[in-house]
Amino acid sequence: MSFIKRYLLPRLLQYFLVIFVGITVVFIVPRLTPVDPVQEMINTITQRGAYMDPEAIEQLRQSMKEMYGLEGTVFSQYISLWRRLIIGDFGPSLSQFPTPVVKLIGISLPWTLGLMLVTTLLSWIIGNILGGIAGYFSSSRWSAAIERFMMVLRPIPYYIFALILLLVFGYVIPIFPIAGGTSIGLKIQFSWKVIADLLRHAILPALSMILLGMAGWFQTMRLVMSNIVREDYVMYARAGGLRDTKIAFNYVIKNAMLPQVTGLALSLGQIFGGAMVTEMVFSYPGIGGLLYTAINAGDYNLIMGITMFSILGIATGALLVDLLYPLFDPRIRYR
Amino acid sequence: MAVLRELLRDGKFTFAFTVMSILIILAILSFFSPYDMSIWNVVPRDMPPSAEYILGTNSKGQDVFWEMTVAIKNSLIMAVIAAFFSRLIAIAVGLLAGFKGGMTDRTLMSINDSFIVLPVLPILILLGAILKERLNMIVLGLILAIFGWAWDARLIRSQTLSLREREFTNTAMLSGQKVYELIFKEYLPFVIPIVSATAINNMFWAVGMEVTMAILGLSNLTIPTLGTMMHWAISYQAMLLGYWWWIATPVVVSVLLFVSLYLLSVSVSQYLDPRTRIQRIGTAKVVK
Amino acid sequence: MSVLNTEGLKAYYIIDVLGEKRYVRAVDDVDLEIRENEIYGIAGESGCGKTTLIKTLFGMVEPPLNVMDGKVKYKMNAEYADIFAMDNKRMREIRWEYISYIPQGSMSVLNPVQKVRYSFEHFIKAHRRIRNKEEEFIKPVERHLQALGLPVQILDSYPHQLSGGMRQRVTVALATVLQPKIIIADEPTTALDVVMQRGVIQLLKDVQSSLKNTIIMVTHDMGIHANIADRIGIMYAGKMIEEASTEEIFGNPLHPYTQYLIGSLPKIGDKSYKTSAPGAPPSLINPPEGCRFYPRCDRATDECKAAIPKLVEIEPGHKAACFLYSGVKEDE
Ligand SMILES: Nc1ncnc2c1ncn2[C@@H]1O[C@H](COP(=O)(O)OP(=O)(O)OP(=O)(O)O)[C@@H](O)[C@H]1O
Ligand SMILES: [Mg+2]
Repeated sequence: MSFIKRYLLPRLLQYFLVIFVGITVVFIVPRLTPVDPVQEMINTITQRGAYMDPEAIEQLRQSMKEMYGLEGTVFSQYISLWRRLIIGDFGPSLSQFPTPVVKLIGISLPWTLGLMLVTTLLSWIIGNILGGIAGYFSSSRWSAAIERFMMVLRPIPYYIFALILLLVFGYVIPIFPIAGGTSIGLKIQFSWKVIADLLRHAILPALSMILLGMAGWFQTMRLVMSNIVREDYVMYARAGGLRDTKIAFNYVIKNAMLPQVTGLALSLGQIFGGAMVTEMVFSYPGIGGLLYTAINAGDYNLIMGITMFSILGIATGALLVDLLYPLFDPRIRYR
Repeated sequence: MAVLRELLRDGKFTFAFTVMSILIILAILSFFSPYDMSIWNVVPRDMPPSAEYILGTNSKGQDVFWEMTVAIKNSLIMAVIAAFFSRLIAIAVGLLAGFKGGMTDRTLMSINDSFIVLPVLPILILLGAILKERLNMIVLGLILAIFGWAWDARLIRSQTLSLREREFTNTAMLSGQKVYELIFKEYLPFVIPIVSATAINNMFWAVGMEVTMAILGLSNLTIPTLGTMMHWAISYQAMLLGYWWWIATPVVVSVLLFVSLYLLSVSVSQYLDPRTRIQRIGTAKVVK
Repeated sequence: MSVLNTEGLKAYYIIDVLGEKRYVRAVDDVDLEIRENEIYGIAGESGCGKTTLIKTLFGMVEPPLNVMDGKVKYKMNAEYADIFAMDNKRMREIRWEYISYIPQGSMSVLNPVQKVRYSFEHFIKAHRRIRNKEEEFIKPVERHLQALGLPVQILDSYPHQLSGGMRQRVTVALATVLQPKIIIADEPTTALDVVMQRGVIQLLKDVQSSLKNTIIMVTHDMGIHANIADRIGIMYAGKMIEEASTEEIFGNPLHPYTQYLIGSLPKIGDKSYKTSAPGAPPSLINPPEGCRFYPRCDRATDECKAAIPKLVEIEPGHKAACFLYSGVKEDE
């Protein structure tokens, strides 16, 4: 009972708050600018060369305003935004009219989900183990060597790192495909050939995300570690003559993982941003790739839909991680 | 100055400090640029580096070296704006939450955590798509400030919480000192060091965001920045056409900027951490 | 017969004050001889270096603490071994088998994310090979707990589910499970209420009388020393200033500081407050020249300011470091 009240309920509240803050920011900030999004969209459409007579443009403007709930007071606009979010209606894509935005997102989602799930887990696990060991044996030479390597890796932005990988593996040592999610014309069905093809295409994007992510986790873990090794229970285990490896795994890493789990929930948004950029560089058919086409096509509606959708998705992901946390921390499970 | 001398004992810091100084000098040089960067075709196009054009020229007919100096200046100004304003928000929220505690603290920290979790990139892309050319460096800096304060507000809050436990808070409260006086006189001196270390982090993040936005074509492309330089080089296929000096310049400069900002923040926060200080001295060989 | 002795032990903290190296002389030239089958109490006010001394005796010296000089010797197999000359492996082996440690603030020495059972398992497995878990681990541990009067169920609890007193007793059980020759306990009762204190003290006493081993116990509570210790050493500002049997310390304290310490104890039937030494303990970074106690001592002479009195035997079995009784100086 107290578990629900002390842990579960606050997490759920936080979940709704993230969504609330995110959607509100998306609503307010564009309105602080002197730009009229409907006018922008009409500009985009007319710029693309399609001739439209003024009357038709006026009609389009009117129907768009209705669709986006730009009619009425600011407050009723805000309410209508929420209504559309709840019924999952982000309107049609402008560049691929009249396909609904939701449908486009639905097609791309599995790619991003798969890529993010695998890379986040792998980089989290590898980064934490390496960082844990390096932090525990922080005075050894190889620990300092790994630390230096990660220190150079960490600050490289996703975009530039992906670009470097693309250059190296796409042109210098061309062993992996550099674009797309599958070979062209491949029919998705369950067979080893298809799976192998999927994996081959995922390797470069995944590699760039895993390496950069790992560097981040490595460094925070090393830092957390340097605090935990000073905790009383670690000092005591050492006083008791326990073996270093035992202390490292059972006493230090198990405790040091706790802030890292919380950290995972908090960094999902950043990881998602990294995934977007990586997908753009490798023309991966996920949400990031979709966002890229939307940017190039000036498809404001699709961008808006993806933004709102990612707020929902990231909040949900963070909630899921938070719900896993009690598995690691008995202090929350048993009171 | 004593602080600087001690910091310079750290090899990381010395390297980062040197690189940063060079970049700042380059940024200052931009004021002496012989060319106006908004005008195209002022020099012959696509010239490789030479005595006349140190870093060559680009397909827009501009001198890459001078374009670079302006780009460094603009990127740094944007980063400083983002860092400065996000620090203001972070200090206000962090101090208020830590000092008031209770319901205020919980509410502010929930909002704070929401900002941490939010996927910033899609939101920025949305804003960029709406604003486009109107997205100059000042506006971008301000927008980034709105999204860049939350981690630090958390840090400042926990620092404030631990300061509250200390003696002088009670003494000051009992002796009837005004709250804001207490905050400014007693808390701020402790908070400023954290703020300065994380400010560097924040600049680093802001420059990265700018580069990403510009490469995607979502900022004012007529303003030279590290990001827009890369954007033009990429969209003119500089790499395929072999104009490596054009694309390499912004890439190398930004990698240098990233690495030096990052190393600065690492060594400054190491310097500020009292425990590592003791360790540094403590492990020094004992002379018997 | 001593089981543990020190010679001219100096352990300083090296710290950085505004870029300058400073030495905190927490243990400064201490000679000890701890005997077999005794409870040796160490007393002194807060900050005088008790914990530092104990850590050094246990060989747990990590930066910023440094051993500047002197030796700590354990008697093993009828020989004395200098622990600072041992390699890490040997050191690891003798811990818990030969000497164990109950640290100060031991509320937080149990790993918060594992059940108490695993603490026992890890500590035992670090020193003993266990082939048959039931026979060689579970049963002996349960017997040990029962002998100490602790419920066996605590093995399946997480530390946060136990009360402070129970956690402290678990620590005592953990420190004694391998029946070491020496047990070092640092303020094992400080954070507990009076009833709990009595329980833990009784537990330590029982352990000692059944194992016939040596306990070195630190506390600033003289009442507990009176109750448990055979001999007591009084520490002041990093130095041992008096050492004698418990009866002698309480009945015939020699050093003025010890007299203050004993005089400040409330006695049965005596309602008046006793004087404690006026003034504050000295800084260990810049201790006073000469006897470290002279600024607070009402019997100080010029000699006390000029030289440091050496801890010497005044009466049989009773040592003190004070010029009132002996003129022997420490050679600097
Ligand atoms: N890590 C440290 N770094 C620097 N100085 C220290 C450190 N730990 C302890 N000291 C100093 O060493 C001196 C002795 O400390 P110690 O903990 O041994 O005292 P103590 O007698 O055990 O006190 P208490 O009764 O409060 O436990 C104190 O002046 C203390 O300030
Ligand atoms: Mg102590």
